[in-house]
Amino acid sequence: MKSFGNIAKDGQVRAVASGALTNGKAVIVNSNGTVSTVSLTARDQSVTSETRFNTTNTSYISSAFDSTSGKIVIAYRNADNSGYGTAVVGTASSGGITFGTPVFFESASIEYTGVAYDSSNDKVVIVYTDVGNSNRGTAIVGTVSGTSISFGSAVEFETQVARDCQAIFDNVNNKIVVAYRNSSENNRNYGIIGTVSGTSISFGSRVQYSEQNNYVLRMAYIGNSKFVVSAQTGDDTGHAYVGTVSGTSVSFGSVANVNGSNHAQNPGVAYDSTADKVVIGFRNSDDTTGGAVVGTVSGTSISFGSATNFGAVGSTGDNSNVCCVYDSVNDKTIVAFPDDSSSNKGTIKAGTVSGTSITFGDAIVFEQGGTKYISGVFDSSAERVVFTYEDDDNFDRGKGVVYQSSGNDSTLTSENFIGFSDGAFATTQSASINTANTIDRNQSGLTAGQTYFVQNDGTIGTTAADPSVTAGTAISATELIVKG
Amino acid sequence: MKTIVETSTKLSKYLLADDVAITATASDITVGDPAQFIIADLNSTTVTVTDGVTNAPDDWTGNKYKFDGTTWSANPDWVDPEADDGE
Repeated sequence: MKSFGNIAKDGQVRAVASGALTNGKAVIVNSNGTVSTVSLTARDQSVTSETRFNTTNTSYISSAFDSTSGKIVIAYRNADNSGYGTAVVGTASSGGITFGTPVFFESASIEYTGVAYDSSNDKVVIVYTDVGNSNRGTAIVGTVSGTSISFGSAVEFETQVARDCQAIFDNVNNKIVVAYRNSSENNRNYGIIGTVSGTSISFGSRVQYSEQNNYVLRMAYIGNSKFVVSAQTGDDTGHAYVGTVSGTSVSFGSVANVNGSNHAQNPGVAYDSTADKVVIGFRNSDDTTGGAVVGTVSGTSISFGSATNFGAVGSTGDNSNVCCVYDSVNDKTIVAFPDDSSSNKGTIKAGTVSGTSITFGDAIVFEQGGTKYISGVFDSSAERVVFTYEDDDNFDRGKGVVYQSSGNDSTLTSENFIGFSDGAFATTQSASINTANTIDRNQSGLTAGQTYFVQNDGTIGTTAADPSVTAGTAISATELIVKG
Repeated sequence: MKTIVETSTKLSKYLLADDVAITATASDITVGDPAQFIIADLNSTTVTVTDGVTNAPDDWTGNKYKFDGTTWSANPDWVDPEADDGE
C-alpha cells in the first residue's frame, strides 16, 4: 500500500499510521513514508571521547561559553612553554569538541586563571596571576573570531600577589565581577568590578569580604546583580558569600558555612535557575566523600540544607576537584570529580534539586586517567556540558569532553511536521492528515489571531520550541489554519 | 635554534628549533606552518628574532635569560614560578 495518496478532502492527505494517531495531534512524516504523532523518547546520559587541546603539562584550567559565537574559550597555564598563559577556542557538538590553534595571551608564567564572557560587549575576559610580573592580579580582554581569539593589552587589577582569580559576568550592570585571594595580605579575599571598553578593561576599587586564609574560590552568577562565591579555609571549612554589584562597586553579605561544622574542601558552585537555588559540591576531607548542598539566597545571606553524598572524591592536589555546572535544558546540576574509589578517574553525576536537597543519578566515567583542574561550562548552542581538565595519568595533557544529560528527545525536526491528525487512527490504518493551508478543527483553547508552534512533545503553544516549527494561525478557539 | 626576544627588555621569550617557521605581523606572531601556536602579546614591532643560535643555556626557560643577539645573561628579576605556589 502506498504511504501517501487517496486524498480525502481538499488539503488533506491520507498516509499509513505508524503507531496510534490521536485526533488533533501534530503529525510528522517518518523516513519510510509512514506518519506518526510527535513524541518524546527517553535518552540516557552520555559523554563523548576526549579530545586533546594541549599535549603536556596543562594546569590552572578555566573556561567560559561565548554565547554569541557559540564557542568555548579555555584558558590555562602551559608549563611546557615556560608556564605561559594560553587560550584556545573550542567548538562542541554531539560528536565531541574540536579546538583551534592555541594562542598565548601572556608570554610569561601565569597561574590561577578565571574566564568570563561579557555578552554586552561580546568579549571574553581572562583573569590570572601574572607570575612573571610579581604575581599581580591581571586581566585581559579577548575577542573570539572563528576558532581563534585575539587579545588587547593586559591590565592589572591587584598590584599585590593575587591568587585563586575567578570571574563572572553580571548581565544587569554589564560588569565583570572578579574575586581573588590576596597572598600579600594573609590570603584575604577581595572582590573588584571590571568594565570592558573595546579591547580593554578598567576596574573600580577592591572590596575585602573575608578574613585571612580563604582558598579555592569559585563563583556563580544568580541574577539580579547577585552572585555567590564559595571557598575553603585553611582547615577545610567550606565558606560561601553572597555578593551584590552596584555600579562599579560590590558589597558582600556575611559568611555562611557550607557544610555545617564538617569539612568542605575544593568546592565547586553552580546556580540552578529553574529552582532558584545554589548547589555547592565539595570533598569532605574527613572521609573523602563527595558532598553537595543546596543553598537558598535571601537578601545578602545564604543558608544550606543537609549534604547529599554523591561518591568518593580523590585528593589530586589543589584546585578543581569538584566542578559543578547547571544544565538549563535538562534542569540538572552536573558534578564532575576525580573518583577516589576508582583511581581518580574523571567521573560525572547529574543531580536534581528538589526543595533544599539534591539527589544524584548514576555515575558515568569521562576519563580513565586521574583528573585534575576540572572546569565546566554549559554550551547552550549544543545543549550540552563541556568539561576540560588535566589528565593526570597521561603527561598532564589538557583534554575536553562533551556531556549530555539524560532527558527526552523529540521526534520533531525542523522539516518533518506535515499537519494534524483528523481523527483517531490505529497503527497501519490509513490516516487523514490536515496539511498546510487546511483548517484543522480539532483544537481547543486557542486564541484567534495567534501564531502557534509545535512543541517537542507534540502539543502546540505560542512560544517557539527548539526546533522552531510553525503549526499555524488560530482563527477560533478550536480552529487553526495549518502551516508548516 | 632560534629565539624570539622582546626588544625593549631583551628577555628571551621563546626558543625554537631552526626549522620552525615564524611569521611576525603587526598584530601577532604565528609559530609553525601549519600554526602550532599564536603569540598574541608580541608582534613584529616588539620583538627581535635571531636565527642560528647555538649557545642557549641548557636550563633555558622563558624570561629567565636576556639575549643581546650574541650573549646570554641571567635575568636579575627572574623568580622561579615553581618555588612558591602560595599555599
